[in-house]
Amino acid sequence: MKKIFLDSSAVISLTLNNLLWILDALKEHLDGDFFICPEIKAELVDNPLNTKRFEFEALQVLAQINSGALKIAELTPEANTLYDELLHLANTSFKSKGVWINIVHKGEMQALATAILSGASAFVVDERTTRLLLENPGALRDLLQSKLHTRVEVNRQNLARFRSLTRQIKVIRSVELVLVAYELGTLDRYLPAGTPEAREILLDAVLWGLKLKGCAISEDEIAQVKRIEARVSE
Amino acid sequence: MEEVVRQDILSVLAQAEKYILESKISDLKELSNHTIHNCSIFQDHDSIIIAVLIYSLSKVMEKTNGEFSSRVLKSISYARNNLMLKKEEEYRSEIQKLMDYISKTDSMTRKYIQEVIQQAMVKKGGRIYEHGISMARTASILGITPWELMAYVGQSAEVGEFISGRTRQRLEFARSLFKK
Repeated sequence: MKKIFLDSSAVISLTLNNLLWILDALKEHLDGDFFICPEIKAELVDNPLNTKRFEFEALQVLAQINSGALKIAELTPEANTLYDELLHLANTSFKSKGVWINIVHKGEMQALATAILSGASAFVVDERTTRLLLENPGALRDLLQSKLHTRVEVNRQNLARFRSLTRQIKVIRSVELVLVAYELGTLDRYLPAGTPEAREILLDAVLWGLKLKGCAISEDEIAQVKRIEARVSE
Repeated sequence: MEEVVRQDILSVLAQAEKYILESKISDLKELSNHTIHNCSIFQDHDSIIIAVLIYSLSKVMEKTNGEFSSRVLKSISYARNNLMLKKEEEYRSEIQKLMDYISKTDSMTRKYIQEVIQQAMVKKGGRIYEHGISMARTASILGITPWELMAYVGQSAEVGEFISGRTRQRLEFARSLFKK
């Protein structure tokens, strides 16, 4: 059984684009389930339900949880211990002006810890920092240094330990989930009628929709994805 | 308060007084980004509140009169003097009074002011996220939700920077997870 874990950023991207429902459709093609961790549920559902802003979006996520399309992973004592360690390591890996920079928050690391211990097939994260930390911490150091206009020291030991703990995690983004849904025809209901370029228009629309709602995908990548999909449909 | 933070805030307050006196609203808005580096590194309330205060002032001053400006100037000057003397509690208390004053200004509706302050939080959050702090961490620092932040940051061109490649491999891997 495959387990795909989602970070809050990926769920938010999908919801803000009215695409959260594709999880249900994708599940039919997945021999497994989609998961979030309890802290992510609090960020996505419990907290916004106490406010007016994003209350309806929270209800949309809740509906997916209630339908079983999105399951809540159990936070075991082992996951709790790993989550503490990951949070500590990530937040003591980069130093500037004499202080460790707290770059990540508990939800992101709890999601990662539960994903690791569940043997997740993939971790879906749209926000740039966690993704860079997992895949290319050198680029994250460059980003911090470039934006903060100051030298950023790296704690190589902590970073190496973090990478060792997370080495089996494979990262995708909401955009890849949407692309699979697009290729499977799940999004065909949105094809504009009366134009031979309907599929290209739909692809462009969903890619830009995701980008403009926060998914970390560059314009160059959008162009590349469009070229890849054009070849697939040939 | 870290000394580097104190010095930066003093500099920002001095500049703010100048821009308010000269009615340079766009410069004031730009000035609100000057403490973002410190917000990202120290994640301290003082750096954050100054960024939010200066941005909110720049928006509110577009619609207010001279009486409002003189009250704000008096308050900034008092806060700055206290901070210069390292009287941090008095400084913070004055900044809080200034935030309260802005929130209660009767030249605009309360709803508009709340919107301005909320917008300031999200905009400054967007800047902190651009600096490499994660979405959830940034939202937590500012006391906003990741929903608000995510909806805002997508409009920033800078979020596309420093993204690692692997586009093709990532898509191929995603395809392999699902049956046709």
